[in-house]
Order: sequence, then C-alpha cells, then structure tokens
Amino acid sequence: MVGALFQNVTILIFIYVLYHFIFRLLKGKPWAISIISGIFLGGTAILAMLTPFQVEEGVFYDARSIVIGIAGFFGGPLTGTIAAALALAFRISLGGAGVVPGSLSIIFSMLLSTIAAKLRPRYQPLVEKHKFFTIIGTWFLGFLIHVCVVLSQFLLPEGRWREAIPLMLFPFLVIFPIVFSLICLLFLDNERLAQAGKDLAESEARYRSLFQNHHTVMLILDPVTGVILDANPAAEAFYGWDRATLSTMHIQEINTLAPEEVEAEMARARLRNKSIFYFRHRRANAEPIDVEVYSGPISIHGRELLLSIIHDNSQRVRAEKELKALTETLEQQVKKRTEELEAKTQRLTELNREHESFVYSVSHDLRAPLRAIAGFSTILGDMLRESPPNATGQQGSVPNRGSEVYHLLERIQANAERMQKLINDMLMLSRVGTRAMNPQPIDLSLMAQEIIGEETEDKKERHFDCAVQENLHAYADPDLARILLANLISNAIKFTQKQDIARIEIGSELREGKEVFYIRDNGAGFDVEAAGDRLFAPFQRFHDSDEFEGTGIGLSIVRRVAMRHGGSVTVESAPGKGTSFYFDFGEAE
Amino acid sequence: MELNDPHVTILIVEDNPDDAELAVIALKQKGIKTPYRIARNADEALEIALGRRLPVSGRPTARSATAPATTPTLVLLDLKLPGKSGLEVLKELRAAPSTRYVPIVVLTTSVLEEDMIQSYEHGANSFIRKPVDFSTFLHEIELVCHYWLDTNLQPKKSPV
Repeated sequence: MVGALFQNVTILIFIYVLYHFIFRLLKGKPWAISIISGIFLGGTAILAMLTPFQVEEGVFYDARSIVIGIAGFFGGPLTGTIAAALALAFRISLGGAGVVPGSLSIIFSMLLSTIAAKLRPRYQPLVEKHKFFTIIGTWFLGFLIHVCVVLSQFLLPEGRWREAIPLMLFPFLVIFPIVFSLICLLFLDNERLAQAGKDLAESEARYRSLFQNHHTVMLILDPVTGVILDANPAAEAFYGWDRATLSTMHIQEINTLAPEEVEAEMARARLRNKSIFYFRHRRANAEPIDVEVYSGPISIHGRELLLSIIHDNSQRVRAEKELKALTETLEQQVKKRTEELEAKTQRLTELNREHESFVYSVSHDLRAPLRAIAGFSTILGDMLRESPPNATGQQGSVPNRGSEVYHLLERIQANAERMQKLINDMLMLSRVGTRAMNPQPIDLSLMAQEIIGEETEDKKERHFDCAVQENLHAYADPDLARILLANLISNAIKFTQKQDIARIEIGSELREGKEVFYIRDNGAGFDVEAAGDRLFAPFQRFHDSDEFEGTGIGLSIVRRVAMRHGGSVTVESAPGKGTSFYFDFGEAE
Repeated sequence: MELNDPHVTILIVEDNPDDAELAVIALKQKGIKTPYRIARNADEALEIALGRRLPVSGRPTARSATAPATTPTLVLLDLKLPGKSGLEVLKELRAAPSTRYVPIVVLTTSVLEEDMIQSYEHGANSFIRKPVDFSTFLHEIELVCHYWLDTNLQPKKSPV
C-alpha cells in the first residue's frame, strides 16, 4: 500500500512539473490552458488509477481525488469538469464493485474543489495576512474531499465497506489531506511567481509605453559615465538628433556646463532621490536652451540608471530675466525719484531758511525806521508840551493849532504802533511755519484758562462769561498750541467788545466722527460765505479797522499751527450771531 | 568818582544814526549827563575802548596811528553792525583786561532768542530789545543804565 501511495505521489510531482511546462507554453491563452490542463489532469488521474492500491478486484484506491481536487481548485470549473469527465469515464470503464463510490469520489472532488475555488477570492485578504491560513485552508479542503470519498464507500455493495473503510481510513484522512495541502502550496507558489512575472511584465510595458509615448522629453543615462542609454521620441524632437545618434552621445556633450560639473551634478542626482536642476542644453541646430531637469535614480534590469525628464524652461527664464530687468529699472526709477525728492526737500528746507532769514531781516530793517518815527514824534510832542506852540506868540514858525498838532503826532505814533504789530505778526506767521515742533500731551483747558486770564486782565471794565470745559487734552507742540489758542481767544475777546456780556465757550465735541475743539463767542460774527477762502489768508480783514483793530494775520497763524500738526480749522459764523471756530491737531499719536 | 566825572564815559556802539540819537536823547531825558562817545562800527568801538590800532585799509589816514584809549564806564552795544558784529566787539572787550569788568548792555532789534543767549554767554550784563515805543525805551534805558552806572561806580567810591 505504501508503495502504491509512493507511486501516486511521484505521479503528482511529475504532473506538477509538466503542468508548469504547459502553462508557460500556452502563456496568454486562458481557454487553451483550461482545456489542455483539464485533459492533462484527467490523464494524470487515469494514470493514478492504473497504479492503485487494490483491495480486491474492482475495489481500489488511488490519488485521483487529489488530482481532480487540484484541477478544480486551480484550473477552475472548465478544467475541473474536463479532468473529472475523463477520470469518470475511465473509472466507469474499469467497472467492478467500487464503480459507484469511485465515481462519486471523482464527482465530490470536482464539486468541492470548484466551490472552494469560487470562495477563494473572499479569503484572499486573510490568506495574505496569515500565511498559516493557506495551509489550514488547503488541508481542510483536502480533508473535506477525502471525508466524502470515505463516506461514499458505504455505497459498496454487500457491506464491503466494513473491510474497505478501515483500510483506507488512515491514508485518506491523514496522509491525503496533507499531500493535497502540500501540492496546493506548490501550485500557489507557482501562481504567485507567475503573477509576479506578469506584474513585472505589465509594469515594464507600462513604463515602456510611458517612456515612448509621453510628450515629455526623457533620457535614460548611465549615472557614472553620462552615456545616453535611451531617449524617447519627444527627446528626439526636442534635441533634433535621432535616437541612434543620441545613443552614441554623452550628456556632457549636451549640457553646456563643463564635463566635471555635469558629473558632479549627476552624482547629486544619484544620491538624492530626485533633484531639480537648471541647465542649458545644446541642440542639433539651435542655440543652447534653458531647461529644467528632474533627475532621479531608476532601476532597470538590476542596473541603477538615471532618468532625466527635461522641460523647456526658456520662456520662464526669459520671463524671469524680463522681470528682473523690469524690477531693476523700477528700482532705479524709485532711487532716482527718491534722490529728486531728497533734493527737493533740501531745496525746500533751504528756501524755508532763506524765507525765515528774509522775513527776519525785513522785520528788523523795517523796525529801525519805525522806531525813529515813533521816537522822534514822541520827542517832538514832549518838546511842544514843554514850550507850547504860539503860547506866547514868539514861536511863529509853529502853527497855532496846538491840539491839531498833538492829534497828528498821535496819529503818527498810532500808525507806527500798528506797523509794529504787523511786523510782529508777520514774523510770528513765518516762525510758526518753520520752527521745529516738539509735540507732547498738553492740558488745553489749563492753557485756555491762563490765556483768558492774561487777555482779560486789562479789560476789567468789560463783563466776561467764560466757560472752559475741563480735561481738554491734546497732543501738540505746547508753544504753537498756545499761539493758536491765544489768537482765537483774543479774537473772541475782540469781537465781543460790543456785547454787554461777552460769552466765550471752549470745549470739544464730535464732528464727523472726529473729536475737535471749539471756541465759541457771542460776538459780532461775519458772513462766512462772503469771506470764503480769504478768511485764513494773511492780511484779510472782515471788519472796519475803526470798529475792530487787528492786522488780519491772526487766523493765518491759527491755520498754519493746525496744519503743521496735520489738523485743520473751520469756522461757523453769521453777522450778529457770534462765531464758532473748530480746530484739531490731526491724528498725532 | 561821580557821574559827572570827566573820566566817566558811556560808549554807544550804534551804526544807525537815528537810533544813536534816540539813545542820546533818552539818556539826557533821564538825567544821565555822563559824556558819551558814539562808535559807528566795531573797529571804532574797539579803538575808542582799547586804543587799538585801526587796520590800514588802503586809506592813508592819520587814524592808523594808535589813539589813546578811553575806557568806558558803560557800553551800549548794538549787535547788528556793518562788518564785524557786535558779538565780536563783546568778545574782544571781555578779552581785554581793561574792559573785562565794564558793564555792557546789549541793545538790539533782534527777536532771536539765540542772540540773547549768545550775548549773555559772552559776558553781556543786560540785554534790551529796542522797543518801537519811545516811552518804553526811555524806561528801560533809565532802569538799566542807572543800575549799571551805579554798580560800576560804587566800588570806586569806597576808600581804598
């Protein structure tokens, strides 16, 4: 019995080898494979039946269940059916007492293995995860097949199973499942190899197609020597050399860098997995062209090669160059403008200085004759007082109109004084515009109180009702702010002189979302519309000088102070309705 | 030494004849009868105060000889002079031993603070901004001149 089994196993190994030979022979023809393997495996089953372990005439046992099982499990329904049909025909032709169980064994093997083949994909993930499951699974299939074989022995006529079953129990339920499992493992391994080969072939084909048909320029290089091993049609078109010519060339001939540098770059590409390079490449009939090269190692047939993908970068390089040139031009323009501005600023500063010194000289030089006029007229007045004209009639040269002479002398002095004020205000206006600023937080309320105190000191005969809001804080140059405030306050005091009670209000309020300070009076007021733009211009007056004295420079000073801080001054007024000035010091801080 | 002592003099350094005259009248009106000398420019002032040789400036004149110095008792000094400025005069008077302690009143039309600061820095005793109004001028002249003349004369009154 052992001898017979040994024979069977030998047959199985033989079929395994032969099977693969056929498989390779008919590669790529699935139908032919199915039919041929079916016939072949059926023949093997017959061969197994010819070397059986004979119990008696017509009752014999062999490895046909294993062969059919393999056929069904690996070949699929078609192979299984063909193999089973052949084996069945042969078994029936042999006849004997065991014909029914023998036939049934074949059918069961076929059915169970085919079902198992159908179920196989479902367990594939499990199998891939646990190798052990393959062994258990195939062993279980073998065991199941052979349990059926053993059970079919009960159909032996005249209760012959009593002798047969004990004999076959051990080989069929212990040895055969293991053998089945082992053969399955062999087949599976082969299948895996075949699959791997197929994958490889597919990937190679895919790669080939990718390389050949892609519109991107690609070269395959020897990373050490720089020999061009392969070039795709896109590369042929790009470089203008055909593949044969390119294959005789080195990349060093194409790259405009020195050969040593190219080799160094290739070494870099080999070491790092992928690198981007910016080169200039030569072409068959054109100027060198700027390219962007993606280079990385690639393994082909066990050789480490370099795949270079080349992009035409000339447009980008040109665009970059243009951009750079543009930026440079722009920078130069900015520089030029800045220089011009600086020169202008300097010129302005000079002009300012010149202007200030001019105003200063003018005021100085104007003051001297003024002083003489005022001084001498005063002295003249004094002299006349000491010896009144025509008092005795002896000083006939002096007109006998004493009071008129004094009056005229007074007019001279008053005018001198007025001119003096004008000069002072002019000087003030000039200096307010040019002096250095030192902005800091100031208490406007306190400042206003002080100024009101000073301005009303010599006007005790008048009645004032002044209201200064508390905690008016501003960020401004204190001296300039004081000048502004003093001008507006003295204005208010001046234009309220006709009121029984002069009301002056100083505070802050929101106007157009901005906090502004105001100074409001119940004075004479004026027609804002008529004043228009001239209101803040120097030497503009809107009242008769007999009525309200003044130089007409005060508001110019006020506006200049506000403007120097980045602020502004506005006014609301109407004749007889009083005046409100609004001012701020800009967004300083 | 009295105010009327012939050795007591006031030196008025003033280029503007009107201003000089106003100053003279002011002194007179305020009863300061001290003799005065008027210098029209810096060189004249230094010549009078220090007896310094005038630089020979092409004009063949006897003034190139050394004139005797008249150390003033009080100097009224205008800052804005033709050529060398009043400030230069101030410096030179302070550098000379004979005039180091002579009271010097700077009289000027300048409104620049800097002029005042520099004047005091270089040893001016008082600084008067010439007012347009003559009465104010009178008042200031009286105040300052009396003060400095009295002060300057005081030590010499004490018996040494």
